[in-house]
Amino acid sequence: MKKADIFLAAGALAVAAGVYLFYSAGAEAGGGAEVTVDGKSAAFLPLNENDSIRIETPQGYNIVAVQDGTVMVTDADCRDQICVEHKKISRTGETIVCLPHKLVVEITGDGSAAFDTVVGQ
Amino acid sequence: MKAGRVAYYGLFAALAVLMGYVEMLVPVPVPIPGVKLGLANVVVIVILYYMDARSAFFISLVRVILCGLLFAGFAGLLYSLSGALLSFAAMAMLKKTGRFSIVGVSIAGGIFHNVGQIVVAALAVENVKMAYYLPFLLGSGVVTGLLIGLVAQTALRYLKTKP
Repeated sequence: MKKADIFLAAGALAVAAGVYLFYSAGAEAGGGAEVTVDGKSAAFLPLNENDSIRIETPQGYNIVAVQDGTVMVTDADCRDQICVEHKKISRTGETIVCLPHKLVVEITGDGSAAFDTVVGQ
Repeated sequence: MKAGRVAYYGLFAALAVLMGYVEMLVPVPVPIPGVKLGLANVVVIVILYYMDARSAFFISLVRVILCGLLFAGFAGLLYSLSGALLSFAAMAMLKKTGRFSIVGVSIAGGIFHNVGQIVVAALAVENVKMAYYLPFLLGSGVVTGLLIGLVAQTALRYLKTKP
Protein backbone atom coordinates (compact mmCIF):
# COMPACT_ATOMS: atom_id res chain seq x y z
CA MET A 1 0.00 0.00 0.00
CA LYS A 2 1.24 3.44 -0.90
CA LYS A 3 0.20 6.83 0.38
CA ALA A 4 -1.80 7.51 -2.79
CA ASP A 5 -3.83 4.32 -2.15
CA ILE A 6 -4.88 5.56 1.26
CA PHE A 7 -5.84 8.97 -0.16
CA LEU A 8 -7.92 7.33 -2.85
CA ALA A 9 -9.80 5.10 -0.40
CA ALA A 10 -10.27 7.90 2.10
CA GLY A 11 -11.46 10.26 -0.63
CA ALA A 12 -14.06 7.80 -1.87
CA LEU A 13 -15.31 7.14 1.65
CA ALA A 14 -15.48 10.88 2.33
CA VAL A 15 -17.62 11.41 -0.78
CA ALA A 16 -19.82 8.50 0.29
CA ALA A 17 -20.24 9.95 3.77
CA GLY A 18 -20.98 13.39 2.30
CA VAL A 19 -23.69 12.13 -0.03
CA TYR A 20 -25.16 10.00 2.72
CA LEU A 21 -25.29 12.93 5.16
CA PHE A 22 -26.79 15.12 2.45
CA TYR A 23 -29.58 12.62 1.94
CA SER A 24 -30.26 11.89 5.57
CA ALA A 25 -30.12 15.56 6.60
CA GLY A 26 -32.89 16.42 4.16
CA ALA A 27 -34.93 13.34 5.04
CA GLU A 28 -38.10 13.58 7.05
CA ALA A 29 -41.01 11.25 7.62
CA GLY A 30 -42.54 10.71 4.21
CA GLY A 31 -46.14 11.23 3.18
CA GLY A 32 -46.42 8.71 0.41
CA ALA A 33 -44.68 6.31 -1.90
CA GLU A 34 -44.47 7.08 -5.58
CA VAL A 35 -43.98 4.14 -7.88
CA THR A 36 -42.50 4.68 -11.33
CA VAL A 37 -41.92 2.15 -14.06
CA ASP A 38 -39.44 3.04 -16.78
CA GLY A 39 -39.51 6.66 -15.62
CA LYS A 40 -43.31 6.98 -15.80
CA SER A 41 -45.56 7.27 -12.77
CA ALA A 42 -47.43 4.05 -12.12
CA ALA A 43 -48.97 4.50 -8.69
CA PHE A 44 -48.98 6.56 -5.52
CA LEU A 45 -49.58 5.07 -2.09
CA PRO A 46 -50.24 7.30 0.93
CA LEU A 47 -48.27 6.11 3.94
CA ASN A 48 -51.08 6.64 6.43
CA GLU A 49 -53.17 3.71 5.27
CA ASN A 50 -52.18 0.09 4.97
CA ASP A 51 -52.53 -1.04 1.42
CA SER A 52 -50.96 -3.32 -1.11
CA ILE A 53 -51.01 -3.07 -4.88
CA ARG A 54 -49.80 -5.22 -7.70
CA ILE A 55 -47.83 -3.35 -10.35
CA GLU A 56 -47.60 -4.99 -13.73
CA THR A 57 -44.49 -4.01 -15.67
CA PRO A 58 -43.63 -5.22 -19.16
CA GLN A 59 -41.06 -7.52 -17.54
CA GLY A 60 -43.17 -8.88 -14.67
CA TYR A 61 -45.00 -7.91 -11.51
CA ASN A 62 -44.08 -6.31 -8.18
CA ILE A 63 -46.34 -6.12 -5.17
CA VAL A 64 -45.79 -2.90 -3.24
CA ALA A 65 -47.24 -2.73 0.25
CA VAL A 66 -47.69 -0.01 2.85
CA GLN A 67 -47.70 -1.24 6.42
CA ASP A 68 -47.76 1.01 9.46
CA GLY A 69 -46.17 3.91 7.64
CA THR A 70 -43.40 1.92 5.94
CA VAL A 71 -43.18 0.70 2.38
CA MET A 72 -41.80 -2.54 1.05
CA VAL A 73 -41.95 -4.80 -1.94
CA THR A 74 -43.49 -8.00 -0.64
CA ASP A 75 -43.31 -10.06 -3.79
CA ALA A 76 -41.95 -9.88 -7.33
CA ASP A 77 -41.06 -12.28 -10.10
CA CYS A 78 -37.78 -10.56 -10.93
CA ARG A 79 -34.57 -12.53 -11.17
CA ASP A 80 -32.45 -10.95 -8.47
CA GLN A 81 -35.14 -10.39 -5.75
CA ILE A 82 -33.16 -7.39 -4.51
CA CYS A 83 -36.36 -5.34 -4.24
CA VAL A 84 -38.04 -7.99 -2.08
CA GLU A 85 -35.07 -8.30 0.27
CA HIS A 86 -34.66 -4.54 0.52
CA LYS A 87 -35.30 -3.05 3.94
CA LYS A 88 -38.55 -1.18 4.55
CA ILE A 89 -38.42 2.50 3.66
CA SER A 90 -40.31 5.39 5.20
CA ARG A 91 -38.28 8.62 4.99
CA THR A 92 -38.24 11.05 2.08
CA GLY A 93 -35.66 10.28 -0.56
CA GLU A 94 -35.37 6.60 0.33
CA THR A 95 -35.89 4.32 -2.63
CA ILE A 96 -36.34 0.69 -3.51
CA VAL A 97 -35.24 -0.15 -7.02
CA CYS A 98 -36.13 -3.24 -9.01
CA LEU A 99 -33.66 -2.99 -11.85
CA PRO A 100 -34.90 -5.95 -13.91
CA HIS A 101 -38.40 -4.41 -14.01
CA LYS A 102 -37.18 -0.79 -14.20
CA LEU A 103 -39.38 -0.07 -11.20
CA VAL A 104 -38.56 2.56 -8.59
CA VAL A 105 -40.44 3.12 -5.34
CA GLU A 106 -39.60 6.46 -3.79
CA ILE A 107 -40.79 8.09 -0.61
CA THR A 108 -42.01 11.62 -1.23
CA GLY A 109 -43.49 14.36 0.93
CA ASP A 110 -47.23 14.55 1.37
CA GLY A 111 -47.78 13.77 -2.28
CA SER A 112 -50.51 16.36 -2.60
CA ALA A 113 -48.97 17.77 -5.74
CA ALA A 114 -48.39 14.40 -7.33
CA PHE A 115 -51.76 12.70 -7.56
CA ASP A 116 -55.38 13.07 -6.67
CA THR A 117 -56.34 9.61 -7.77
CA VAL A 118 -54.37 6.72 -9.17
CA VAL A 119 -55.24 5.66 -12.66
CA GLY A 120 -54.54 1.97 -13.23
CA GLN A 121 -51.93 0.74 -15.69
CA MET B 1 1.30 -13.44 -31.71
CA LYS B 2 3.34 -16.07 -29.95
CA ALA B 3 1.78 -19.40 -29.09
CA GLY B 4 2.60 -18.87 -25.45
CA ARG B 5 0.57 -15.69 -25.34
CA VAL B 6 -2.36 -17.39 -27.02
CA ALA B 7 -2.27 -20.09 -24.37
CA TYR B 8 -2.20 -17.48 -21.60
CA TYR B 9 -5.12 -15.59 -23.16
CA GLY B 10 -7.22 -18.74 -23.28
CA LEU B 11 -6.31 -19.70 -19.76
CA PHE B 12 -6.99 -16.27 -18.31
CA ALA B 13 -10.25 -15.83 -20.24
CA ALA B 14 -11.51 -19.19 -18.98
CA LEU B 15 -10.47 -18.32 -15.46
CA ALA B 16 -12.24 -14.96 -15.64
CA VAL B 17 -15.48 -16.55 -16.87
CA LEU B 18 -15.21 -19.15 -14.11
CA MET B 19 -14.77 -16.41 -11.51
CA GLY B 20 -17.90 -14.74 -12.85
CA TYR B 21 -19.77 -18.01 -12.39
CA VAL B 22 -18.47 -18.60 -8.88
CA GLU B 23 -19.47 -15.07 -8.03
CA MET B 24 -23.05 -15.84 -9.04
CA LEU B 25 -23.15 -18.79 -6.67
CA VAL B 26 -22.12 -16.61 -3.74
CA PRO B 27 -25.09 -14.56 -2.62
CA VAL B 28 -24.25 -10.99 -1.62
CA PRO B 29 -25.78 -10.30 1.78
CA VAL B 30 -26.56 -6.66 0.95
CA PRO B 31 -29.78 -6.00 -0.96
CA ILE B 32 -28.43 -3.11 -2.98
CA PRO B 33 -28.43 -3.26 -6.75
CA GLY B 34 -24.89 -3.38 -8.15
CA VAL B 35 -22.99 -4.59 -5.09
CA LYS B 36 -20.67 -7.39 -6.13
CA LEU B 37 -17.53 -9.02 -4.89
CA GLY B 38 -15.80 -8.56 -8.25
CA LEU B 39 -13.90 -11.85 -8.23
CA ALA B 40 -13.29 -11.68 -11.98
CA ASN B 41 -11.37 -8.48 -11.40
CA VAL B 42 -8.63 -10.55 -9.75
CA VAL B 43 -7.90 -12.01 -13.16
CA VAL B 44 -8.06 -8.65 -14.94
CA ILE B 45 -5.63 -7.08 -12.47
CA VAL B 46 -3.27 -10.03 -12.63
CA ILE B 47 -3.13 -9.73 -16.43
CA LEU B 48 -2.71 -5.97 -16.17
CA TYR B 49 0.45 -6.51 -14.14
CA TYR B 50 1.63 -9.85 -15.50
CA MET B 51 1.11 -9.02 -19.18
CA ASP B 52 -0.06 -5.59 -20.33
CA ALA B 53 -3.05 -3.24 -20.47
CA ARG B 54 -4.08 -4.29 -23.96
CA SER B 55 -4.33 -7.95 -22.99
CA ALA B 56 -6.19 -7.09 -19.79
CA PHE B 57 -8.66 -5.01 -21.78
CA PHE B 58 -9.45 -7.79 -24.24
CA ILE B 59 -9.75 -10.49 -21.59
CA SER B 60 -12.06 -8.21 -19.62
CA LEU B 61 -14.20 -7.64 -22.71
CA VAL B 62 -14.34 -11.33 -23.57
CA ARG B 63 -15.30 -12.18 -20.01
CA VAL B 64 -18.11 -9.62 -19.82
CA ILE B 65 -19.59 -10.74 -23.13
CA LEU B 66 -19.35 -14.46 -22.32
CA CYS B 67 -20.62 -14.12 -18.76
CA GLY B 68 -23.36 -11.76 -19.87
CA LEU B 69 -24.62 -14.08 -22.58
CA LEU B 70 -24.26 -17.22 -20.48
CA PHE B 71 -25.65 -16.08 -17.14
CA ALA B 72 -27.23 -12.66 -17.17
CA GLY B 73 -29.03 -11.93 -20.42
CA PHE B 74 -28.79 -8.79 -22.50
CA ALA B 75 -29.81 -6.21 -19.89
CA GLY B 76 -27.32 -7.63 -17.40
CA LEU B 77 -24.70 -7.48 -20.12
CA LEU B 78 -25.16 -3.72 -20.48
CA TYR B 79 -24.68 -3.11 -16.76
CA SER B 80 -21.59 -5.22 -16.47
CA LEU B 81 -20.12 -3.84 -19.70
CA SER B 82 -20.39 -0.25 -18.49
CA GLY B 83 -19.01 -1.23 -15.11
CA ALA B 84 -16.14 -3.22 -16.61
CA LEU B 85 -15.12 -0.56 -19.14
CA LEU B 86 -15.13 2.30 -16.65
CA SER B 87 -13.34 0.21 -14.05
CA PHE B 88 -10.72 -0.87 -16.58
CA ALA B 89 -10.10 2.70 -17.74
CA ALA B 90 -9.62 3.84 -14.15
CA MET B 91 -7.26 0.98 -13.31
CA ALA B 92 -5.14 1.36 -16.44
CA MET B 93 -4.75 5.11 -15.87
CA LEU B 94 -3.90 4.77 -12.19
CA LYS B 95 -1.36 2.08 -12.91
CA LYS B 96 0.26 4.30 -15.55
CA THR B 97 0.81 7.14 -13.08
CA GLY B 98 2.98 4.78 -11.03
CA ARG B 99 1.89 6.42 -7.80
CA PHE B 100 -0.50 3.71 -6.75
CA SER B 101 0.16 0.16 -5.63
CA ILE B 102 -1.76 -2.79 -7.00
CA VAL B 103 -4.18 -2.46 -4.08
CA GLY B 104 -4.90 1.19 -4.91
CA VAL B 105 -5.45 0.28 -8.55
CA SER B 106 -7.87 -2.42 -7.47
CA ILE B 107 -9.75 -0.04 -5.17
CA ALA B 108 -10.19 2.38 -8.06
CA GLY B 109 -11.44 -0.53 -10.14
CA GLY B 110 -14.02 -1.43 -7.50
CA ILE B 111 -15.22 2.14 -7.12
CA PHE B 112 -15.54 2.85 -10.82
CA HIS B 113 -17.16 -0.48 -11.54
CA ASN B 114 -19.95 0.44 -9.17
CA VAL B 115 -20.20 4.01 -10.42
CA GLY B 116 -20.48 2.76 -14.00
CA GLN B 117 -23.24 0.37 -13.05
CA ILE B 118 -25.23 2.96 -11.18
CA VAL B 119 -25.03 5.41 -14.10
CA VAL B 120 -26.41 2.84 -16.53
CA ALA B 121 -29.01 1.79 -13.97
CA ALA B 122 -30.14 5.40 -13.55
CA LEU B 123 -30.44 5.68 -17.32
CA ALA B 124 -32.35 2.39 -17.49
CA VAL B 125 -34.99 3.28 -14.91
CA GLU B 126 -34.89 6.91 -16.11
CA ASN B 127 -34.59 8.06 -12.57
CA VAL B 128 -31.65 10.00 -11.13
CA LYS B 129 -32.81 8.92 -7.69
CA MET B 130 -30.47 5.97 -8.08
CA ALA B 131 -27.88 8.36 -6.64
CA TYR B 132 -29.39 7.42 -3.28
CA TYR B 133 -27.39 4.20 -3.54
CA LEU B 134 -24.12 5.97 -4.37
CA PRO B 135 -22.71 6.07 -0.81
CA PHE B 136 -23.28 2.33 -0.38
CA LEU B 137 -21.77 1.53 -3.75
CA LEU B 138 -18.72 3.71 -3.10
CA GLY B 139 -18.19 2.11 0.28
CA SER B 140 -18.56 -1.41 -1.04
CA GLY B 141 -16.27 -0.54 -3.97
CA VAL B 142 -13.50 0.45 -1.56
CA VAL B 143 -13.91 -2.67 0.59
CA THR B 144 -14.17 -5.19 -2.25
CA GLY B 145 -11.42 -3.40 -4.21
CA LEU B 146 -9.12 -3.69 -1.21
CA LEU B 147 -9.80 -7.43 -0.80
CA ILE B 148 -9.51 -8.16 -4.52
CA GLY B 149 -6.29 -6.16 -4.71
CA LEU B 150 -4.73 -8.16 -1.89
CA VAL B 151 -5.74 -11.43 -3.56
CA ALA B 152 -4.28 -10.28 -6.91
CA GLN B 153 -1.07 -9.18 -5.18
CA THR B 154 -0.68 -12.62 -3.60
CA ALA B 155 -1.50 -14.40 -6.86
CA LEU B 156 1.13 -12.37 -8.73
CA ARG B 157 3.82 -13.34 -6.27
CA TYR B 158 3.36 -16.98 -7.23
CA LEU B 159 3.08 -16.25 -10.95
CA LYS B 160 6.42 -14.41 -10.94
CA THR B 161 8.35 -17.13 -9.20
CA LYS B 162 6.81 -20.12 -10.99
CA PRO B 163 6.51 -19.28 -14.66
